[in-house]
Amino acid sequence: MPPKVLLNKCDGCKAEHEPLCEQVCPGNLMTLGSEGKAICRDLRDCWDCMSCTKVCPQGAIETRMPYQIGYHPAKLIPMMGTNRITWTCVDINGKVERFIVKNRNEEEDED
Amino acid sequence: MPSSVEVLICRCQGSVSGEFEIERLTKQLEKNKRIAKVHVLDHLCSQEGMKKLNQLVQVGEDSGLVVAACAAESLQNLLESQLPALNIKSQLCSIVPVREWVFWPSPRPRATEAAADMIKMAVARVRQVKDVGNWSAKGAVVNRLRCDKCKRCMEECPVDAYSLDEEGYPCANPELCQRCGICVGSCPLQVISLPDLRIEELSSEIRALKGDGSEEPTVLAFCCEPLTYPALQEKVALGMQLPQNMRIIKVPCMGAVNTALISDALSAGVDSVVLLGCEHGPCQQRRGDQLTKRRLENLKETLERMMFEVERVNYIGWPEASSDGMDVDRNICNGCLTCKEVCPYNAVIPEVKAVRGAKRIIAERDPLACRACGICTVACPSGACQTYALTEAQLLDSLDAACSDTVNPVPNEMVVLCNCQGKLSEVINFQSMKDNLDKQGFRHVIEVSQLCTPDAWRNLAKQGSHAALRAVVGACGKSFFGSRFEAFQKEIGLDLSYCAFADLLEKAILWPESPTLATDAATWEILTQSALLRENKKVNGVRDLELAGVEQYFSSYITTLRDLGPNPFKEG
Repeated sequence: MPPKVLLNKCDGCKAEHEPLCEQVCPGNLMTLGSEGKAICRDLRDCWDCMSCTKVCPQGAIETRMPYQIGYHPAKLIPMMGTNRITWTCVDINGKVERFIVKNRNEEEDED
Repeated sequence: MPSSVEVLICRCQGSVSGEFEIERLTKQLEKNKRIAKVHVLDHLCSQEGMKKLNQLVQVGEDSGLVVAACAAESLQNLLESQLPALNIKSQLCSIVPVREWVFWPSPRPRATEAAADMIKMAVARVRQVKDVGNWSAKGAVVNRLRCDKCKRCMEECPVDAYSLDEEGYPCANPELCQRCGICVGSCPLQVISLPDLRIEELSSEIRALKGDGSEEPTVLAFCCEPLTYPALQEKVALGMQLPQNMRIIKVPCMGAVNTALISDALSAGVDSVVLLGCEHGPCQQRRGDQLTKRRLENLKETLERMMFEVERVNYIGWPEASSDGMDVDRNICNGCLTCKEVCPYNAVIPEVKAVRGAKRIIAERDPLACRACGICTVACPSGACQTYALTEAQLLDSLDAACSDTVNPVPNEMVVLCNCQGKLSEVINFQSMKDNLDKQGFRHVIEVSQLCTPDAWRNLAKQGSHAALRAVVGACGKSFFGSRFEAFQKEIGLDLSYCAFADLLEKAILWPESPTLATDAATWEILTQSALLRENKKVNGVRDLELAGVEQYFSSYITTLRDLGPNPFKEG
């Protein structure tokens, strides 16, 4: 299922020539629409890599779950930290699971 | 990054060790593998203390130092001058104001743990300090290895300091850059650093926040350097209670807080993140508050979708301090409106008023817009505009006192001098100062040893039973300490508008080798301050209200947090 751009949050990367989602999309699917907001130009070609969702500085892109994995209430949402991604996974029964993935090396915390 | 970090705790000659169990604190810190050594000494701010510091701390070229003491600005300046001799770079030295953030907002049962927590946070920060070309820079620095040229920094920079270089990377002009950090907060890839701020350092500091081990919710508060940090510090000095597990991080502007840092804090198990910034504040041109609110709204929306409690993230707009305002004398104002031309805030509103039977134009002030900067005082040809805080008559009086040495103190005018347990009398000759003041006609000069304790003030109240109406207080620490004194003064019933403050520590720092000069300068300041008191029109009274408001807000917020329960990301 394709990415959905939340229009009230997207600022088109301040109407930059190429927004971040466009730069990062491996299929070159994202582009700037006429209103200066990001848009996915070919919904069927998206393979749900979630790159655009993660890179969006405004958190304005939501990836809809493919129906093979989960129906409406199911969600998978990343929140980007400086060197970790906090994922929230909601399944079709509304059960919430959260997990943290470190994506950069850091010094281990100790007491 | 520093190879090792040492910790130095100042006991303040016992006045801090009463609250912290220094031994337990030292042991707790020594257990931590990140800390190489823990030193304890007395009165770091005295000459003795500095000498001792030189003996105690002997570290290599790339070592860090965390100093746990009080953070009166003077201490910071003092330490900074000592660092080259200690072979420590100033970026690798961090001062933890344990007295202001732990010891004063007490009583707390777990002050020792709280202090240890704060020190560990500072250590975690210092360990991440690294020169990425920002130490020698004068403005923001973009890491070109990771920058993807999204130009968001260019868009959000309030002073348009950014331009593109030949290769298309944004680059801040150091001449224009105000180091507000708004670009640091805006960068989606977190690749921008200020000379003294790197996101990795802050992130590491935030992740070290563990709380004091009690059940109380942990609150991480970002305070902005120009407004809320000093304001909150002053409130604490006046006796405000902070939430028990609140830790404070200073940033140049709220706009410098990257949302990635908030996300870091939440995922590290911090119960709540509070951004204490301005509300259409005096530095509104920076738009820091608007940008931050917009970013927070976006983050909150994501949190809502994540089914995470949005109450855990909050922006608090600090009420702007009301200025004392201007006094326009209707009998003198001739309605020329020169003030309207020079006023930078457009605060002059001409009004037609009846003065002595005739209708005349009077240049009234909008009390909300006027900041009492005093520019109109200088421009006014008739001398009708005067600031309440400092009138021309007051200025002339103090100049008189400074030049001619003839002060005629009001009977019962009191002078209280604090020698800081003998620390100040090492440099300043208190006896000659007292003799001098006596010659000028001051009959009630009292020398005390620790004015920063409430007991000293109660004793003073007993001594000064002759109901001193006016008083000049000479002690250490400028306006900041002065506010601490105000709390005590109120306790013993001294009228605040009739008290002036003279900074003795400043003199001791300026002339450490020459007691005569320091003593003269101190006497001189006391005389001028006394002269300033005479025509005082200053109005007080707004403060108490504001103080109660902020404190109430925090206590109700903590109740909300308690109801929410701990952060789902908290370990265990």
